[in-house]
Amino acid sequence: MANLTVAASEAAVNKLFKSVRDNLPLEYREFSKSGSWGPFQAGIDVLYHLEGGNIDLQSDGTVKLSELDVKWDTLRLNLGLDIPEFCIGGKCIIKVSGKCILRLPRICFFGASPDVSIPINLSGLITAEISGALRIIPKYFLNPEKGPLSDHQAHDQDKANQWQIFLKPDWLDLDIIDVADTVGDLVENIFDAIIDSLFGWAPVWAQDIIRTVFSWLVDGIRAILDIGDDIQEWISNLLGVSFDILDFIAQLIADYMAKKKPIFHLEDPYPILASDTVDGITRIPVLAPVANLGVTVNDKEMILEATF
Amino acid sequence: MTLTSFSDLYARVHEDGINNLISQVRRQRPSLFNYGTSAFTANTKLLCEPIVVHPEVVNQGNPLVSKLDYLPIPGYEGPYGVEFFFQLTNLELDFHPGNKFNLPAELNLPLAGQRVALTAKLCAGIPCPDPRILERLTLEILPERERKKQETNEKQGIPFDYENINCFCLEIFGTANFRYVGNQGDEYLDLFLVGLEVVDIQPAGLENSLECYVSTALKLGILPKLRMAIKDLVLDNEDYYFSISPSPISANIPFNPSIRTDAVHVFGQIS
Repeated sequence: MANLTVAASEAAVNKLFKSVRDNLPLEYREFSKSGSWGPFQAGIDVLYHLEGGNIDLQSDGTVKLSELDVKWDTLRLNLGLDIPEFCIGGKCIIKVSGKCILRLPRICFFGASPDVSIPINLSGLITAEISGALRIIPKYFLNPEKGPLSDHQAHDQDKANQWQIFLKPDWLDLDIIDVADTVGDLVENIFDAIIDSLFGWAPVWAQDIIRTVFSWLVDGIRAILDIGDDIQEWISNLLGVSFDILDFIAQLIADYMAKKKPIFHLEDPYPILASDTVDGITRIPVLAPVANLGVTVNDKEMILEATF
Repeated sequence: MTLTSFSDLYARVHEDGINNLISQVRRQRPSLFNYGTSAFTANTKLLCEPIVVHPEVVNQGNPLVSKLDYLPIPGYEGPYGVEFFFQLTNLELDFHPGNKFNLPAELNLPLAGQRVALTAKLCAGIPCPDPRILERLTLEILPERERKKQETNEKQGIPFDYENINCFCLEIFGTANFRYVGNQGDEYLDLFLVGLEVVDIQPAGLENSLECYVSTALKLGILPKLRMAIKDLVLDNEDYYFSISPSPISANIPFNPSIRTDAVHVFGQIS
């Protein structure tokens, strides 16, 4: 039978949760990704932090996480379009004895890769939301670095075995819920930006002619990007489907919770009296073995039990 | 009603857990429970009770016995003092209602609410100086007018017969309660001795004097070393940014810590 019982109320668990939320390491909050789909290239740079959210302890033993907001401190899309190269001119005007002696100049367009590069900065303009149900899993960690070390030597070298408590997601849901209106304006400007980047050297009246001449190109770009009338929906799909960013972030968080960082750990054996020095002699710490650590959750509190 | 109906955090430690912890402290910090002069620190086999010690104590060269000064010899100004030792063994706690051992009547039975009973064995010995050496020393004592030349600050123990150490053991019983000590946010759970009884000592004056001395040694020397930090008891929170402190006394929490049902119960709040 356990001789140590520790319980935390739902309110206390929420305070613990907020501590984890507000101190999530940077390595789990920033990443970059890129890819290409035919002529369409895209890359993304992300830095986010978490806000809000609430914990409900459930009678089925799970911990329900509700409405944890993902705030994008940095969300930069780099869209690129590699338009197939085409050339005009180069035809022979005057031929003498089968040899061309006067040829029209040959001009080729869209030889670069990508031909069009458009950065879209969505930092601070989009909010995502996470919900999920998590299960408390205690595990005994046999530290491979302990090896033949005694318990006291392992403690001194921070290589002791541990009891660790993890949060394992039963399910996680990550949704984009709010695309700001300003995002639509940004995307609408893509087309002007394309023309400006390709023909910015030309006078305005020439650019207008080019816009008319290349209207088919603009339609083609729009079709390739699959930009519909609803710019917000397009952005949502772009981030969620084309980049798969949502599942990627959800997996990052799930990995962090389930594998990388226990929410609670207890060294075994546990130091109940610290090492001290008396008359120049350093006395060993007093370590007490901990056995049978278990965690239960009900709708009011989370309970940890162990045996000294 | 739940464990945390009136507090953020709750911890309960059963008396068996506390006694297991005391046992670990005795094995890994034996010098907290064994005291003696130089002859006994140098040779622990001379003590009444063998010291059961964790191997790491020996590996690390930690002391098994804390060194004490020699007993002074009244009227004697020479370099010798009397060797002695004492040990506190079999320390055991019994939380209210108290059902592990019987307390003596002098401690106001039955065990009061919110109290802990404790028992231990106190063993000690004052070896008699070797009579041949004593006789030689008496011959060496100089007349008064010449003694000042002999004075020395460096004491040593009078040699004694290792086969003839007068060991004796006494049963002691006590009552105590738990309290918090320390600064806010960094409180420790402290076991505070309330009453002590040494069994079967006569005359009463000797018994009372001995109880007084042992009580003082426990209050000042041994029990403070067994304090446990509340934050360590409840949570290893070195990675987080909150503090834990005891919940205030209220109608719902009349005692904090509370001693009942063979356990100590601690109520805490997070801020």
